[in-house]
Amino acid sequence: MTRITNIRWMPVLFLLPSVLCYLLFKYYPLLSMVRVSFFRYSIVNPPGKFIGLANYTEFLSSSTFWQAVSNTFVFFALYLGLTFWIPIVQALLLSDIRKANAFFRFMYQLPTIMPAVAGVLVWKWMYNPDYGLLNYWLQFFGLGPYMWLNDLNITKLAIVLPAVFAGNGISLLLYYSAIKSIPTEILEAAKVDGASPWRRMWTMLLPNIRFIIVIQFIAFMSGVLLAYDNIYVMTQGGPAGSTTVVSMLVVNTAFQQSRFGISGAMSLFMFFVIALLTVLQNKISAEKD
Amino acid sequence: MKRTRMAEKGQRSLTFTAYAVTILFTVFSLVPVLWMVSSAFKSDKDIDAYPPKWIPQIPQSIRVTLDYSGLGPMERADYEKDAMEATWFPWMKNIRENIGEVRITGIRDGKMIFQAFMASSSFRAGQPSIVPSTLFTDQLMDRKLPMIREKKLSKFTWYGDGGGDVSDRKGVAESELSSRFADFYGSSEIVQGKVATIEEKQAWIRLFDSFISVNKIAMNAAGPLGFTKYFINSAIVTLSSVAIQLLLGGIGRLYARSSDHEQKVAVLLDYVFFWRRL
Repeated sequence: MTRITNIRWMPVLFLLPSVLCYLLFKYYPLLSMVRVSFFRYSIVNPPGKFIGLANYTEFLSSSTFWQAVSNTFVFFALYLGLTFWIPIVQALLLSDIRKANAFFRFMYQLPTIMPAVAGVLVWKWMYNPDYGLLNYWLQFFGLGPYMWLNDLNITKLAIVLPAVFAGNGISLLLYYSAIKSIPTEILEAAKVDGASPWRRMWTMLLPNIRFIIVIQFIAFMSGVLLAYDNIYVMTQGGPAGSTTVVSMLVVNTAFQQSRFGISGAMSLFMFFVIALLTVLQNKISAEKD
Repeated sequence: MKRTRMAEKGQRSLTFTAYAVTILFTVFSLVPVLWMVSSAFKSDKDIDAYPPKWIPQIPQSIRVTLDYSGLGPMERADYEKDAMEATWFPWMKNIRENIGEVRITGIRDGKMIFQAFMASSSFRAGQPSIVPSTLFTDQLMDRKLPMIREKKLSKFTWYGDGGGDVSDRKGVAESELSSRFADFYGSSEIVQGKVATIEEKQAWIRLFDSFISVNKIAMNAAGPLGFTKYFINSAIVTLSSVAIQLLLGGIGRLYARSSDHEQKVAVLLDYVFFWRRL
């Protein structure tokens, strides 16, 4: 009884609504998904027959699943190599621009106001091999024409390319804000010590925004590993399954084949993969600190 | 004495790189946005054109004068049906062309008896249901005319005997589109009126018809509010999400602002009844 009266109930009361919402809309679906993954789910008579780990053994022994995992990580590598560092560089260079700084910040944000699906559709148009803008421009450099969305060798690159030039607006703002919050005294001290502007950027600005980079990387990682909408609009997973990622396989298995049990199992697999990568990434960052 | 500023070593190269990279990225990131905006004003033919066109062509206003002189007696409904056939059928045959509007003027014995008008926004909205294919028959318009009237897709103004005098000039404009319209009227027995003139003029205002047609299509699907309904739906979802997050986040912050038990109760009451002070 004493222990109950010793609990400070006011914090519990104030935090209860948000915790309840979080439990209801985040954890309940997650736990439901875990439960469903052990059943041969029946829409008519849910949850169906308990089959233990059969869903897991089925997808883990499926070549289609491992092809999707491979595609997912190839996309991750492409996005990481081509897009993750771009807003960091943009923010670092933008912080050095004095004239028209606000104008350039506005111009960087302009593509983000376009609906994501509309942007992907415009790129799909531009990729058209017959009347697309990209092949028309590339011919002036003696390149192309390319079958951007039909060539197995370049389809993945074609899907990643739009993210190189657009969709960096919010990340750029975060990095720019972090750079601007760095105390000017340390930059002035580095300047007095003889550090050049390039050196200050590399040794002062970049390390001081590392915390934001780590947070952005975690969000980036889960966003890319669970990417679906742009791939679906561009190629629907083709050609020949070369752009089918795990999230697409989960959706197709659930809603085209009505096999919610196995799709839940695949989702849980990706959940653990992303959780593991996040833990590893946090450990590496902590060690560096 | 001219003031000179000593540039730090490396500053010029950094500034040049900063401007160059920023301008490069902003220009390239705007290409899809500008292409989308430009394509919103283009016709189907211009969208698929090669080489790609950035600047949309100004839509054409096709003005056709049909002469009914010498034909048997016709009622107003017959003229209206003929006007609709003269509008919808050749337009459907040239659906990919940059037609902004079609105006049909009916004359008989030198007097104007009717005028009909349809803008491209109405054609785009009504085409799937009025002229779904290029198979045209006389009976087709009998079935579709009530739909055209109900949805007010075309405007028909009847003058009858009170119409003004019309000059008796004849001729077809020297353009491929006008020739195709003339060929349709000449080869088809569906349209009874004989072509007197076909003129083509630029219709700047029709550049924006694609937006109007989207709203008309949305009105068919979503009701009288049209496209606005989708904006309202998005606004409701967005504002509800923001409100709920403000509420839940604010409750937690409320607790952080107060320090002891009595103040917390007071702060809670303050929040409930005077939430503006949050």
